[in-house]
Amino acid sequence: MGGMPVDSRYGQQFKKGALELVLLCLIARGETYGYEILTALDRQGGRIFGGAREGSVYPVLYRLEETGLISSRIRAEGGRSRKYYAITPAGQAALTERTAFWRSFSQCVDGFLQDEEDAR
Amino acid sequence: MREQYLRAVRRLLPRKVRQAVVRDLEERFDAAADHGESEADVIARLGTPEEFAAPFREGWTPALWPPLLLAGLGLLVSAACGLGLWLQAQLGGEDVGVIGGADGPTRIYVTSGGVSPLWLLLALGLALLAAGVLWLRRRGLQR
Repeated sequence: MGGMPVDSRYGQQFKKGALELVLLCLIARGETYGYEILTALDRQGGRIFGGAREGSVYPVLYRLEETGLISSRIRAEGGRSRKYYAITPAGQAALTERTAFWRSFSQCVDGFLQDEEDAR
Repeated sequence: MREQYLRAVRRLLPRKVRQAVVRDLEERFDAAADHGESEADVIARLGTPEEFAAPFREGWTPALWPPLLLAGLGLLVSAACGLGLWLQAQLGGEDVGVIGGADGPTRIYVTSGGVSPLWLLLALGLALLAAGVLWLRRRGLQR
């Protein structure tokens, strides 16, 4: 699977849009915290989101919280604090909606690409 | 390394998100320690303080009116004290005579002893003015 590197400007724009959806999806699985989220991205993200850095992830988490799609609470654990994120009902609804959008979006684009491939 | 990085980031962040972001970074460094990651490793991932803080600064320009207000206040106080001290000098003394010869007579005034509190207030005014200007300069550079 060669081709365009995911760090190109084109790839970056795509990743930004999808990262919100991916994070919402991860948090919907169950209450989680920053480091766990980064680890999950590393583990499952492959070439796209594997190694996604704090600089990309944290701002998206803030935006999700600001718009009420996730909530956070801070637990003090032995001299340190850890912030736990959970999905809200609004977030659950948004996840369903955006997943549906993603599916129809990619189906549509696939359709065009398939026609193109068939034509060759 | 960690404290230096956190200090640098803190200075760049808008006040609204400052506390939350720094707390999150501290949590990240703590997690690193737990998993055998070095502070240098984390900093390499985070990027420079400028790179890390950049997304939080998007669409934010630090307001100039607070430092301008402080400098203005300092200027006002300094000017008022300066005027007060000048007036005091004009009106305060009791002329008790002249000493010295024809080539350089000196008039002697006697005023009440001690340092006028206006000097103290002038010093305060100048300090406020200086603080305001430095703050203004910092904010100006941040834009």
